[in-house]
Amino acid sequence: MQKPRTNRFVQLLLSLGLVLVTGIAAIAQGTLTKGVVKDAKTGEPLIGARVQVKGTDKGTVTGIDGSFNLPVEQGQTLVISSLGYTLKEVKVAGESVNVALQEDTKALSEVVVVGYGTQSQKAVSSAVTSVNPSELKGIPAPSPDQLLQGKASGVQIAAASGTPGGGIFVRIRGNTSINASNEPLYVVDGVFINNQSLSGLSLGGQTTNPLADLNPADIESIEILKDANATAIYGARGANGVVLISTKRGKTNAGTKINFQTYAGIAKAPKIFETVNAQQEAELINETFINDGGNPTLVPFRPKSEGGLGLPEEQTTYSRIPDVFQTALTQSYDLSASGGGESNRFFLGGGYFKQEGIVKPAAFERFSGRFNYDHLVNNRLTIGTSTTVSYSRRNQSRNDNSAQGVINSALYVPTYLPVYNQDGSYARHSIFDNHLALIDNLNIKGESSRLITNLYGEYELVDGLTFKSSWSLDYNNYADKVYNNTQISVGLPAGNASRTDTRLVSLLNEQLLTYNKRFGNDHFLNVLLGNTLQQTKYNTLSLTGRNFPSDDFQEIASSSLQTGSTNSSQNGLVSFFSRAGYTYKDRYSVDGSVRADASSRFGAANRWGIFPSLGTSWIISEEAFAQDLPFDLIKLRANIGLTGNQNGINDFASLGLWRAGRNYDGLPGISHQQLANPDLKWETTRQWNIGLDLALLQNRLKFEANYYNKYTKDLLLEVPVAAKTGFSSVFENLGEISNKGVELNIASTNIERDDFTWTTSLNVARNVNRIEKLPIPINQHSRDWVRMEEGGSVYAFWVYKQLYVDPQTGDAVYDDVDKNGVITVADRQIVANAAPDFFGGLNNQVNYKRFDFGALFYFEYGNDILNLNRFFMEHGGTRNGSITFLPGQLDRWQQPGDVTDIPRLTRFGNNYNLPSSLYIEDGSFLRLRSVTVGYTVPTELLNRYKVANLRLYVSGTNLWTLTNYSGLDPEVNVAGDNQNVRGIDHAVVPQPRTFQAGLNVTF
Amino acid sequence: MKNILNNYKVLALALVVSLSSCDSILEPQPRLDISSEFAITDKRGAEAALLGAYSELQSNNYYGLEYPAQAYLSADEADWSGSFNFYQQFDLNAIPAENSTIKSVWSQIYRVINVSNNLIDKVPAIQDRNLTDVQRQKILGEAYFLRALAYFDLGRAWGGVPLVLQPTVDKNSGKGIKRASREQTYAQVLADLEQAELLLPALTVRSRASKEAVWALKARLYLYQQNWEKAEAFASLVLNSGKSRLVQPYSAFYTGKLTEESILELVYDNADRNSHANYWLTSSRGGRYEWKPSAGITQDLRNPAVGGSRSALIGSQVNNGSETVYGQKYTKVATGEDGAFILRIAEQYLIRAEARLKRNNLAGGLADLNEVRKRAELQPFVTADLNAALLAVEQERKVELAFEGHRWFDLIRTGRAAAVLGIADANKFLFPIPNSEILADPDLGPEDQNPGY
Repeated sequence: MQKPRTNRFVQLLLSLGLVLVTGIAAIAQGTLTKGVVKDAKTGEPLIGARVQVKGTDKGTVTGIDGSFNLPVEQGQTLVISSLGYTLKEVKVAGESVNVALQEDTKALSEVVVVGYGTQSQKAVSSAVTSVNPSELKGIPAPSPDQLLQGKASGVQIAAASGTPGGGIFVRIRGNTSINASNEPLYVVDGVFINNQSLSGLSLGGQTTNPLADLNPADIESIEILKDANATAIYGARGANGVVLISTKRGKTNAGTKINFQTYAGIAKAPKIFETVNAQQEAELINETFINDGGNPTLVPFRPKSEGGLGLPEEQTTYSRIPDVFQTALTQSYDLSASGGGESNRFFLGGGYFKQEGIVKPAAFERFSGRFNYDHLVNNRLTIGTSTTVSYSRRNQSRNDNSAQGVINSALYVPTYLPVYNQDGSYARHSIFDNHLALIDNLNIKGESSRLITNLYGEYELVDGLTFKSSWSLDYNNYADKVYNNTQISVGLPAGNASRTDTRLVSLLNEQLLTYNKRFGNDHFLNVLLGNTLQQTKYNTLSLTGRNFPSDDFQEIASSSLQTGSTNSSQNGLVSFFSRAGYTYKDRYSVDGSVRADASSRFGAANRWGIFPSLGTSWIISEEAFAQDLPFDLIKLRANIGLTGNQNGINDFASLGLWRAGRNYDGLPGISHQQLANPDLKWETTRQWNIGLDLALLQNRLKFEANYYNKYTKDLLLEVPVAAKTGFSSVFENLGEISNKGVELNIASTNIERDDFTWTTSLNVARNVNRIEKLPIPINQHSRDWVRMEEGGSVYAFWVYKQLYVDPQTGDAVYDDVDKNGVITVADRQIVANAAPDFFGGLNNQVNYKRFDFGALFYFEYGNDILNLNRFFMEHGGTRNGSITFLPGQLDRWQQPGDVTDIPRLTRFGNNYNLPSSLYIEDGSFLRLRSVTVGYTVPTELLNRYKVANLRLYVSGTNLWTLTNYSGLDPEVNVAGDNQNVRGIDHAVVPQPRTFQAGLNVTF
Repeated sequence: MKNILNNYKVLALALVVSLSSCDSILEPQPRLDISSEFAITDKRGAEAALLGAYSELQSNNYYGLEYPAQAYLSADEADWSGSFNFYQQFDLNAIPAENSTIKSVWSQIYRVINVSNNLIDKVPAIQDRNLTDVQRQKILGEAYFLRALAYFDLGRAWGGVPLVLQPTVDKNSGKGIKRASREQTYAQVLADLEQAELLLPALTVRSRASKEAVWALKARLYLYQQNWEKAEAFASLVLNSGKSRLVQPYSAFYTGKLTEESILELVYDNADRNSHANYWLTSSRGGRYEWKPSAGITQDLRNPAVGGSRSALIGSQVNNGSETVYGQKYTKVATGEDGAFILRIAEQYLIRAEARLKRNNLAGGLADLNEVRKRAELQPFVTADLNAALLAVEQERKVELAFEGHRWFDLIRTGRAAAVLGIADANKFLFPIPNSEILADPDLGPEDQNPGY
């Protein structure tokens, strides 16, 4: 079933990849022009300089004497370039051309943003992916992380559901931990920001995304630090990679520029659920009854006159599913001013964003502001700030793994049961709510207030030596406000309300001493020394009220039974770090860093962790012997380092504790809470990375490859202990996990002309995760669907493997692993995995005259999905009368000789009562993530309105998806709140298909 | 140069400021918790830990829902009608060892045991002049009682279990303790009850263990051990104490709170909520209707000659012409205040009735049986046949103690489960040891699992 699709999938990928190459072939034609390229300063001939006919693919490389021959027509322009020199254009007149190139000092200083500063592009030995946010336009996502999907190799990004502002899965080079965090560290303008959802609500498995507090429109650049040499400078927080976000700043001496951006759009579900109709459901129920030995004359659906529910064909089908879906609106507005005078620069921006969910009633809304300011006090001292404030509101609803969910109450309820009672009131059935009652009455609000600010002073002590001190604050306040009135079952019998205010305040102080100096021509040294102090405090205050006088009262104060509770915790980190890099002849670089972190989470003996790294790079193409090779750049990189992890465990994980609040009869009680482990310490990840960067065809084809090998030991593991002790687990440093993988990035400029450019980039990554050591298997999710065990990998599905359905009896036959003749827990096995074998993105960008066109594909291949909707709704009769069926149930075995995967209907035995492999499907997909078409209005038309630039565009997302998955959407995860569970579909809001139109205008 | 020196001073100052705050950053204290070594060191700590033990006992993983639920679902009292198939597995008497309820109940009972073990270990050594000897004895007596109840509940559901009697201090605590036999488990229960009996005062507060509660549990233990003489003797002690009586009408004991019916009843409130109502009530009454009264028990309870006033246990609603029945022993879904009726006087009458009949005291047995029937507004049961009388007690226990989690264990101890419930495989009369426990406990191997799992 999977095979043919595999091939199609691969073929399609290959054919898309071929697009990369087709634009590059160059054919030489025309009259021969001769020339020599020299260094302007020394007059020496330049070897290996590239000579290109502008606007064509024709080109050549200068020889050992700096000379070249190229067929050129008169009047055409030659573009001459060489690494380290400023590019020059020369118009051809006559038969010979002599060109002198200036050494490009700027090229030498071309930098990439890394931890605590920048590094020369040439000297970087690490795997760092930069994402230009201008490429990200056209996807109406509330948070910046979601925009990175398909953009960065080795970074897997997937939304857990289609709920706006909901949780996003971000994983850089695989899972390194089981109980501690796997999330990367996010650093915005130097501030370590919180990435943990602060909502205290359990709405069926989904979480909120704290990064939705950030306005993507404010972002200037995003760098993703992936390997140890890049992240070791972040020490104890570097093991899962680091995402550095820099926001927009003004330019000095640039006047003031006003920019306004807006877009509006609609979103729809590409596909909605389907169930059997009432007649089919009644027939299935009758068949179960008879199969289970019931008297055929007493089937439940027999004539009413005989005491039955009426014949199957007399049943009315009540449709519910279309009621919960809607065409949702999105709107976004951003207004900013930026610029600067001689001694200052600023960026001031405000934004508003609102997005409705495609499943009622859900919405996300954000008001945001940003102020970035830098002031040059004198030529040595600079002071400034980066500040963002935002206020977000969420209108939330239950879905997913919740019987009170909106989708659940529409999808699962038997179709022959009416929506309203005879008296016109909402009818409820089984454990489910009435879906219309939920849509009309759900009142679950989330309000997030966020302030992220950084104040700094930077002083140049002596030439090249700079001291910087900065003081930062990340203030998060999240309020959950729930009111359940008596129209919905959780509000019965007299209404209830709750409010939880959660506050997370993180204070950071940082001192940095940097030294950058070039000695002579050949030696470049940079050294960095710093320390940080960080303190994070967490407080919650929650109130509940029950028993309201009527549905008109919603404030907790109006209720008759009120309870309150508080919680607080805090942790701290003290760190010292240093990095040094040395580059010789701009060709050979070594760099290394070390960070020492002390965490309050560990006992005094294990408090300090030391995280070193070392890297080296060699630009082979600078060597004389490489000058004849057709490469503009050949660079080899290698590095190794250690990083740590302590996030995600509780603040006092090493202590033996007794907890209060275990009250009885209104009196205060205490009981044991946690077993002590004074030996608890950091998780440590060792990672090495080798990389190769190539550029050829005058930098028009770039290729980057990385191989990495990560090995994490001393996992902070919640190890189960015998329950006879009264405890369920203890935190120990046990277990080891490895991740190995390759990442490939190809970027090509297929066409480059004045009015026509076409670029393509493709990234593909593969990560192989292996749980190297685990003392005992750990099961996850209800019914233990997911299991982590030694030798396996994370996200493995653990089930009874259905081999076939016996054509004679109709009973499911399971793999009897231990061959003992009975199916017991010993026969459960791992049969599938939710992690993809490989994944990546393909991006095409075309600019033609004033039009621009972009298309981004995203794909995952080899990931499996557990379709729990099928588990619950192809229940074979075990849930008759409380849950309806999916149409797939109709393929059940009915009589001897039937060949099918779907067993005989019965409430008994193993046919439908086991977590079976039957519900696991191939979840590979290829998706047209976004398409954008834009038009930039000619400036002549705009000048009289004092408009400097105006671009109009339309875009669409998720317009097309190729997948074999039978559910609504393969980008799905019911357990957004459990990092060890992925790829389970269970009444999840699907990814929407969206269309939007927007404009971007600058004055 | 001077400038530079000044600059370094600023730098040094910044470093000093940051370093001086290191200690406060690195040594925060927990706020909700205290270190284990400070728990149970004085009178207030001991009292708090004792309340904590009751809190663990009333947990929804134990008496607040799951322990009684796994018994009444396994018997013929309730039928599963919801979506959690880990409850359905009890209804079908096909419980895999990975069943999550089995695991949570097992673990929760041992939580009660560990808190009790801590009290039994630490309270005798407390140096606090505010703690009088009487108070110290009472705390210890309650701890012994709670441990006895916990091991009794383990023993009757799982058979013999590991007998941990010392507090857990680290992950190596309890190592080497293997499964005991059921006899050894019950012997430990009895030993703890003997201690509790010496230490506990007479009943004053029905929400806490008392001497009467010890007697009542002893009566039940002896009944399970078929020691009819002692069962009768201890039931008599309870009945004769005058501390409890059958309240009128039948529904009064569960619609009220800590009525005179109760010998030991766990109380719940808005903050500590009993979950039962949520699982029994229909969604239009604020529940999830995870299970419902079986057709058989509904018929019995509604039968005026069998259920009598206990028909109040069956609620009914009619939607679109079809009737839905639901159980209403637990209905306080708004406040969560339904009680857990661990020991109540009606059971003591029925224990004594059964013990007397087994001792060929037909008249005495019928007298006790008819006390219970009288309260249910039924005619006295008259027979000259001892076996018929015993069957009448069995039937009476079914309807009188319905939804409290007795019948499953009753039918098993009397050897009637196979006949009444139609369970052919006698291995199913013990729940499986949680699979997770066999994995986590080095003292348990696959061979220690109950047979048939």
